[in-house]
This record gives sequence, structure tokens and C-alpha cells, in this order.
Amino acid sequence: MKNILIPTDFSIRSLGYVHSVVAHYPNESVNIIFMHALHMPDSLFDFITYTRNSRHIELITADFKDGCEIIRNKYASSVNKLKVEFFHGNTRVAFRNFCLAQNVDVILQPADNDFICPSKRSYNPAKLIAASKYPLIKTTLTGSTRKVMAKSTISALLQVTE
Amino acid sequence: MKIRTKILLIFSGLTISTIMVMSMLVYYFSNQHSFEDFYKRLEIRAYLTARASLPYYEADSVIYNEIRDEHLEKLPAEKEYLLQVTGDGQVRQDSTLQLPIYFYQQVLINSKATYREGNRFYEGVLYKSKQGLYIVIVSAINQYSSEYMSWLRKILLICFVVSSAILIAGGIFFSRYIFRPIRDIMHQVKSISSRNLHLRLNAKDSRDEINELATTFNNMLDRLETAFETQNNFVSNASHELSTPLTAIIGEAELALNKERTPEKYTAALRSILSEAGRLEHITKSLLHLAQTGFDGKKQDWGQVRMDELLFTIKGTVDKIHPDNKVTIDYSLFPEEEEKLSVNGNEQLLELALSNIVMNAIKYSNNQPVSIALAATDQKVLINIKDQGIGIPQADLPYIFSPFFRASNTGFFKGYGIGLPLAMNIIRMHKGDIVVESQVNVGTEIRVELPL
Repeated sequence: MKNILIPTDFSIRSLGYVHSVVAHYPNESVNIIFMHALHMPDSLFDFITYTRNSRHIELITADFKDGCEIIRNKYASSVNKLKVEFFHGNTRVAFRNFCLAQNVDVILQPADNDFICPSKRSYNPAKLIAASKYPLIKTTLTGSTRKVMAKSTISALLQVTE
Repeated sequence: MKIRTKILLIFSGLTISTIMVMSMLVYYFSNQHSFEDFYKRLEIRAYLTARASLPYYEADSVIYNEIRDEHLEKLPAEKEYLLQVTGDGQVRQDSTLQLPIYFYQQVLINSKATYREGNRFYEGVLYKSKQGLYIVIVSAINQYSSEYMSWLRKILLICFVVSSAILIAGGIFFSRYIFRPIRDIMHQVKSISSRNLHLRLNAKDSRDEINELATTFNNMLDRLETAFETQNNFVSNASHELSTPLTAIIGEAELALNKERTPEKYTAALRSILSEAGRLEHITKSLLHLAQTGFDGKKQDWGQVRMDELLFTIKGTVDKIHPDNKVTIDYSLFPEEEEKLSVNGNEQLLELALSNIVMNAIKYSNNQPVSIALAATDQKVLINIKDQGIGIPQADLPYIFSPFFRASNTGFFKGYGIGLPLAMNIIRMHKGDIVVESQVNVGTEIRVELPL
């Protein structure tokens, strides 16, 4: 069983990478960790009142949760566990520690770079992923050429290209 | 009883009773203390009297009397008694003294005792002198402390009355102050009737409960107003839709009847009358359906419906009506487990609702590709129907589920505006929801959510 880390901006689109992960490991069940990277605060007061998760939980939209459940139902036999983790920090060491703590085996590296930051503290961890020493899966979304009506709709998950 | 009076009663009752208990305790304890104090004074006088009357040396008597006269104020009605105790423990009684026996016994045992008779206080001490054992009794009227106590009683009573008056006045003021917003809201709500539903309550920015109440009322009024408008529109739209074919029928019949015509002309007239009557029947039938699905509660023929099978049935029906359709079922999000696909509901009604949506998708996209996708979360089944048609203008989106409403860009398409409201009614019966996202000339995406 492999633990696979996928960077996410909490858009439904980013859930679509699970399709390629499952395709990459056809006869194996995987644990999927969606990672959202956040900068540490820079003011002292923010730092004192900084809590690990609570304030960022609201970044996870109801549609994203629905999408997660759809994915889990679709790949019930191959996706063993699917969870969302926040990575706080922006250094390579912090990222390595995070990966160690989460027991990550493989990191997915999105080749198409349309990351939309959902909050001020969020950032695209593409550089950290590229610099890490973990095995990478480079991938693009299968249906990414398709027009998507709105970011939040489930149709962003559909695989079939028209 | 009004809440305002209740609050006033509780508030003033609580505070006034506290004040009352406090004043009573103050009175009781000061009363107690004033007794003790007076007994102490009597005791000093008793000892001095004893020393002065039964001195060790004759000269002392003068000094003690002097001290007594100079430094001790004469108490009101002060009396002194010296009673000799005989050798066998008997006390020689004074005829003017009416004291109980136990008082003397107590003096003999404890070497001092007190007694009170109304306002007159007695203090007896045992004094051993050269002349023998004596009981010295000093008695006086406690005028000073009784005056003091009555003064205290007066003060406490006045304070009690004044503070309760202040409390009740303050209570009235505060209960009014607190309930003023509620009275305002009541006043404003009373002024809103069916004729001026556009009126709203004044809600300030502060986030207290009263303002939240006002905002809640305003939201309810918004919904009421929309429902009212829909109702009004419904009647006008329905009568319009019903009168159009009727006008056509009447016109056609009048035209045919105003002079002799050939049989072919009559046949043509009758045929057009028949088609208009058919249209009329279709409208009334769909109206009936709409009305029936509008009633909640009747749940005959309900059971588990497999959504994937339902989609195939719909695809089959659509194939019969539009043989050249481009409807595809998207399997990419089908859940693996079958139990995630079963919805509790009425199969006919669900089929009617979904096929209405799919037919709309085909109709308003001029037979462009339509994709139906099925997905399941842990709580609900999602059916995503997507077309590449003319779309729905943003301004029309809120109204598409009201009967007989047709979006502004549907001029070239035939329809009555009953399909979507019917679908909505059916989905609502199943406690589901329909979410529409659309862009004009790009396409429409309708998501039907049904609880598992």
C-alpha cells in the first residue's frame, strides 16, 4: 500500500488527479493525502494566535467534500483512504519533515500549472515538490482541455473529453 | 401576563426582598448588641455601688462616690439594691423588687446575672465584702438604646421604601428600554400586509438577537414576496397560455361558419381546431400533474429506485422520441458499490422529472451533445445533465422554476414553461434539490441531488 501526496487548491479540478494516480497503480490500493500548503504568519500576534488547523478548515468547501466522497465511492476498491492535510511552512526541511510524518511514498507533480490560491496564506508548493527527493508522478488532468463552466461543479471531475 | 411585567416583578421582587432581609438582619443584630452594651454599663455601676456602699476602708467610700458622680452619667430611673446573703445561702429579699427566684440562684452560681422586664433592665452581681456576701442589683430603664433602636428602625424603613421605589421605577424603565425594539418590530410587522409586501423592517448593523430577529423576518418577507409574485404571475401566465389556443379555436370556428365553404376547407378548419384543442389538453394535463405533485405527503408506490437503471430507461425513452439525439451517459464517476445508487422514491415521477430535464437539454441545444453523469457521495446521489445549448440569462435564473415562466431567449422554441417546475416539485418531494449553472450561448449544467 502506497501513500501518495497530491497538492490541492481545494478546487474540484485538483481532485481529478486521483484518476491518474489510480491508473498509475492498477493493482494496488493507495492512500491519498491531499496537501494544502500555507505560509506561516509573519506578525507576532498572528503567530501567537495561530492554531494548527481550525482556521483553515473553512477553506475546504462543501463541494470539495462532496467531490472527495464521489471519488472515494468511485474507487472504493483501489483508494483505501483519502484525507486532507495542511502543510504549514515554506522551507524544504519543513516539507521533508511533513512528508516523513505523513509517511509519504510518492508525490504527484501536476504538470499543468493552474493553481488558484483559495486564501491569502496559500501558495503553490510546486517548487518544493520539484526539489524534494521523493519519487514523482508527473501528470496532467485527462479532461483538462475541456471548458469547465464553473470551478466548483462536479463536471470538473468528469474524465471523458468531448 | 406580559414578559415586561414578568421581568419587572422578578427583578424588583428579588432586589427588594434582598434589601428587606438585610435591613432586618441589621436591626436584629444591633438590637442584640445594644442589650449587651447596656448590661455592661449596669455591671460597672453595680461594682462601683458595691465598692462605695460596702468599702474595705471608710475613706474609699467617698472616693468611689466621687468617681461615680463625676464620671458616670446617671441612667434614667436608676435604682440600686444591696441584698445580703445569709450564711445558709438565703437571700434577704427586698419587698420593692419583683424578681424571679432563678435570677438570685444564677447570681449565686455565676456570680452575675441579667434580667429584663419590658424596658427595665436588671443586672445583679455577687460581691464579697468585709460585711459579708452581698448581691448588688442595679436596674435602669434603657431609654437611650430604645431611642437609638427606634431611630434605626425609622432609617431602615425609609431606606427600604425609597430604594424599592427607585428599583421599581428603574425596573419599569429598563424593561421598557429592553423591549422597545420588540415593540418597534411588532409595530412595523403590523403595518405590512399583502398590499405592501415590499416593506422591510429596520435592521441595524449591530449583531444582537433583536436585529437577528429583524433580519430573519426580512428574509421571510423576501421569500413571501417572491412566492406572492410567482402566484400572481402564475394566474396571468396560465390564463394567457390557456386563452391562446382558445382564441385560435374560436377564430377558426367563426371563420369557417361565416359563409358556405367547401368540405376541404371545413376539414382543414376542424383539423386546426383539433390541434389547438390538443394543445389545450396538453397544458391542462401538465397543470394537473403540477398541482398533484405540489401536494406533499401522498407517497404511494414508493420504493428503492436504482438510479443507473433509471438513466438507461430515460435514454431509451428519449431515443424513441428523438431518434437522432446525442445523449451520452458518462460512466466516469459511477460508484463501485451498488447500494450507493439506490434512492428511495417513486420511479415514474423521478423518470418524468429527469426526462423533462433531458428533453429540455436536447430541445434548447438544437440536438447538440448532452451528457448525463451519475455520481454518489456518502449522503446523496448527484445527476449532472450538461448541454451546449443557448443557456439561461443570469437575470432569469431565479425564476426558471416558477410555472409558465420562460427565459427571455427562448422565443424560437415551443414550450409552456411547465417542465422545470414539475421536475422541481418532484425532486422536492424526494427531499432533493436542483442546482442550475448556466452561461448564455455556452451551455447549461443542471445538477439534481437526491438523498440516498
